[in-house]
Amino acid sequence: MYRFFIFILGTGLVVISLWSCSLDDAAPVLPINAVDPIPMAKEFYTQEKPKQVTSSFRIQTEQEIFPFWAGAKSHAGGRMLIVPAHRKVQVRYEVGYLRRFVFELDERGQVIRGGMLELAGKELEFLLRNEVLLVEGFLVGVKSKDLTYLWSDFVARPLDGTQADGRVVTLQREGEGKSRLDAEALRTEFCIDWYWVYSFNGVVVFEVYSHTTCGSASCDSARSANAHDACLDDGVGAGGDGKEVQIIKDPSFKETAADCIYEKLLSINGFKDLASKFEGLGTEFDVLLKIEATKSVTANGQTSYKGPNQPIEITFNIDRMNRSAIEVARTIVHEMIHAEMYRALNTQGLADIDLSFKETFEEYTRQFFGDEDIHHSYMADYWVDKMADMLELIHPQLGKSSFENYMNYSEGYPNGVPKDFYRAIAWEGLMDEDVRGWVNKDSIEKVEILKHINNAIMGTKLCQIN
Amino acid sequence: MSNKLIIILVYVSICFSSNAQSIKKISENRKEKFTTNYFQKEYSNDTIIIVFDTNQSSTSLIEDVHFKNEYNFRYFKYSRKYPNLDSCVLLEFYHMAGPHQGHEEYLINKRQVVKKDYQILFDKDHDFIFWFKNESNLESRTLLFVDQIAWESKKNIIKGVGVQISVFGSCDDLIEKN
Repeated sequence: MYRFFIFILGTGLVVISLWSCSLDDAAPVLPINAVDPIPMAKEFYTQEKPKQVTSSFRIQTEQEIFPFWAGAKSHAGGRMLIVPAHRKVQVRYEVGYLRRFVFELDERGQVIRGGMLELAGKELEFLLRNEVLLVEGFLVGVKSKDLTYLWSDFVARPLDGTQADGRVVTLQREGEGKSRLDAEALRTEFCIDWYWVYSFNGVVVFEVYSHTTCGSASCDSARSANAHDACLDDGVGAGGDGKEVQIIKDPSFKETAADCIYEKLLSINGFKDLASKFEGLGTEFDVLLKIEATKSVTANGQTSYKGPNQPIEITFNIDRMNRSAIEVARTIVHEMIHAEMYRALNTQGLADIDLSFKETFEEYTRQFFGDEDIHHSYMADYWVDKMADMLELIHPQLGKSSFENYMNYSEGYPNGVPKDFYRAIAWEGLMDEDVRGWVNKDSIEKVEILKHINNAIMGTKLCQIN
Repeated sequence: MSNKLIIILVYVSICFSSNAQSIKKISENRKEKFTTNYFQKEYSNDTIIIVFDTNQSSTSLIEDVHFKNEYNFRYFKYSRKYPNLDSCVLLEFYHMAGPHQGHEEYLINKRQVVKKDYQILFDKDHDFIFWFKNESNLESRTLLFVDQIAWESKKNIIKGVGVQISVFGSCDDLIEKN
């Protein structure tokens, strides 16, 4: 009986194994090169995308992204398909940026996974030159520490934002206040700033400005896969996107500590807003940044308004560039605010916000005499707190931790650098007896402000590019 | 040799050696407790003597005591306004015995520091522009502050204190349609 049972079991196993072999033989594996991956990817995309359309916030506000199949290219012996990812929106990218739909296929030509990969950082030329290598690396889990990677589904919902250093990135709009108006706003001339937001263990550690999308009614036409109009964003962006960049750096400014500090300031929301007033299409004024002797030898910096159609020039005093980084940051912000005031006062087609400013500024013109007093009184009343916010936000990138270390004693800053420190340094350049906000301060407040400013001198002078 | 003679010789040699020393620290303001709190000057071995006219009418003095009843660290600050420049312009020298500066007090042998070519900056020889342009340079060095009256006195050994410099630039930072 036992022998019979063994015989039946053995025969059964042989029959089953032969049957399974015959199944394989019935569907022979085609060499992957023989399979056109594009129809497979199209089929995958068509099947998967409807499942994913559950109102992704980014899609609402950044417009639908669609594959430009005519630009698809197969790589890795047909195991990888890279397809340009287009959308119809006006956009300006801050740094090199590349967006692609990526499909990974198995040896049978079946799509294993597909999604949208965004790469940012470095120059666009580098991204394009190494595109295949970078995408291939990403698919097998190899990432460069110099780049930002974001893998999303077809409706831009993040699936994997893990970076080489373990931080997790998301792309968020300024303030990340989700508003139903945003999609509509995008279609009606408004601009939205987007930031790469890096988190570690759920805590936001850093954010960097990525791009600005501007809507317009003319961009709101039905999408088309091969559109080549002014609204087309083909997912390939360089800093400035080859369009107008209207903050001009003189060679004397480029690659100096001040330039490094300026670049870091651009990651700070408030400052980015300031700078953006001079960038993009339709702005009437450029700003030229340079370092040389100032006309007033005792000024830290100087802003020159040279009339319509001329760049507003900001000159940083060459003798004062060796101060602590936080002090140089303060001077940059201070002079940029002067430039912004000149812009808002002299731009022809003023936006509502500029008109409101102009009205308030005219009130100051009636109360004070001379550009300096008017500008500085206005700045003291309206900008000191905003400047303090910007300086507080930039300080961690300019040696705040070491500054905190040596100020950590009972009569220093035992509980960390206080907000008053940043407010105080914002006052430098405004401590004029003709500035109402300063005159109204009592002597104790003035002594406190000077004390904080004296502390700022001790900050690091170094600025290192990330 | 009698004991008296030995004592006299020892006394004379002490006096001679203290006189021969150019600069001698006479305080112990830096405390171990604050080791990590002191500002590290980049060129602390480079000493510059500043002879300052504290009696100028545009110069004011603020004094305070830090860590009262514990260490009683001395703090004072001389602030100089420049009537011919705008009101933002200010030159300050402050002595902060406590952290984060830990300034010390010194005895200075005038003849020796001159002989040994110490850099001496005389207030009367320099306008605000000089201090403004050289602030970064000076702040990273050891600055010894001496009152001009003491410097001009007949005494050879005078007191000096460590200070830090601070300057505030002009608010004259706008140029329109030049």
